[in-house]
Amino acid sequence: MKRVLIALLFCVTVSGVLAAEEASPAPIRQYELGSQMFTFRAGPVLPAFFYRPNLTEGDQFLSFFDTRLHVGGYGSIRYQRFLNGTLALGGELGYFFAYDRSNLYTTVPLQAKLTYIPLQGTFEIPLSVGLGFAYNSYLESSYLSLFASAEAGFSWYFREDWGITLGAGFQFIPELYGADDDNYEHTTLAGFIPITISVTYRN
Amino acid sequence: MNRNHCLRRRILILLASIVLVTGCNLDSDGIFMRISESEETVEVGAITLIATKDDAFYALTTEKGLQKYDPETKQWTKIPSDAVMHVATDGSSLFYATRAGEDEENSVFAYNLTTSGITPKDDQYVIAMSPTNDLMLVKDAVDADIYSVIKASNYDSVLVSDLTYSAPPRLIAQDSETFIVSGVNGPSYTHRFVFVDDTTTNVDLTSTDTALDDYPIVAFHYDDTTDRLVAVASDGKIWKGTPNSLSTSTSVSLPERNPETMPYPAFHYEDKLYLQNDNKRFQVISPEGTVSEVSGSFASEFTSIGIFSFLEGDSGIIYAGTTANGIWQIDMVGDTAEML
Repeated sequence: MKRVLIALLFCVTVSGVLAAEEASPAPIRQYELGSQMFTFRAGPVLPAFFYRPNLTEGDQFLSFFDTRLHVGGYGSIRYQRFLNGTLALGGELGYFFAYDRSNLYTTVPLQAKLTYIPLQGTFEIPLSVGLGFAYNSYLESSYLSLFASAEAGFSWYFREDWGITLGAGFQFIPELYGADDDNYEHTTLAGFIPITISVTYRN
Repeated sequence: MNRNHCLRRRILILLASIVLVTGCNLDSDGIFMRISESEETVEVGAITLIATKDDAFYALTTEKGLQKYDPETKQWTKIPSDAVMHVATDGSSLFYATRAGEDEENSVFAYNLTTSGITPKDDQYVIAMSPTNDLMLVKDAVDADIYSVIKASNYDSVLVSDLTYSAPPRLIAQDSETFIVSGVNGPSYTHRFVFVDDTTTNVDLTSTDTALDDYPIVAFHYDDTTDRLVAVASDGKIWKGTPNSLSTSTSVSLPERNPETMPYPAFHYEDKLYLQNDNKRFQVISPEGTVSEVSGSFASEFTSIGIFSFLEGDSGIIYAGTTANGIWQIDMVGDTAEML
């Protein structure tokens, strides 16, 4: 395991050096009001948990594959504009799918996305939160829900305008029913962990 | 500054929209709950249950044909047969008819459930069989639209004959002595009800409401002690009353099927008819024609599982053949359900 980590670190270092040697180093980007970012993301999604508060204790919490969902996939497109030198705001439209033991679950989230980039340059660390709603489908059922997300990433801008980001975070989808609803006991907060690779164009 | 103000206003409008549509329940049924209760698919496909004997199950499956299932080992074993189209049983043997060309008779075979021996029977123009009963709907001749219902075990036992339809009808059976033949005759449907007893009842279902003739019957329950019948038509409408005097009641929502005229999977328990609606919710239909949702916990096991057939056992045990999730045992007395 230690050797794998050392090899990985070596590769990252060498590639950084090579990139520096092949072309002139990318100038450090100064974001300002009006700067834009277009991002395309895709990657696997792990089911994290289902929390059912209205069930008896013991049945309330299901984690990972006890949810009976398999690893799914997520893809999205995002557009943001900078409000100042570190904060960008925009929207993201995504598509998430996953199979349970026999059927397909899909959700189409549309969210407002706020990104804070405290560390900037050739390497950046974007921190994002999102809030919106999602259209969920399963078999013959559909449900329009809230959608929230939080994520962190590590970006490498190999050119001034183009970069790739490895990111991970959490996505939350609440399915809510009132006390007088037949589905009251089905109220669930579902959590997912997307791990994505992004390609970003900025100007 | 103006741009910032505009952007903030858009964000506020977006958040307000989010609050308005939050929890908008379009047609939900506890999506994540159903996901957490999903079951593995079984490779044989949809299961038409036929019989059970010595703890083994016999079924016609859409992917693997005629099969025997051992719930102990959870193994499926193919019964030697080709292109099986129809199945029936008298409890001792399983009868099956193979695919035939247009205007050709079907080959019919008997499979002994004890010895596993296969015996050919005389060919017939088989239109339908009732999978869990000893009934076979046949056409009398290739060039005549005349149909009869005979026993699959004994062709000489003719239960009803000389039925005339302009297209092949359907056979819906409650048991080997109680069945309906429903088919189109010209512009409308007729439904012949037969109850074989000391004095056999053999009548067309009738109603002052001509809507009875608009759709085929796909499920029914008959109580011979009260002479009361409830029938479900393919449009979901429920008919109740005596066979000679039916009136419309309420309706159930059935899923789209192809063809819609096929018998609909349902079982009988304590003089009521149970079936799964288009949302995979169990509904129970009383002899008075009222419909209510089954609130028992056995029903909650099937919220994401489609049922393809039923086989009624003893002492309140019902077996369900599903579309993709194997065979289930429902205990109506204990209100439980489990996958076998």
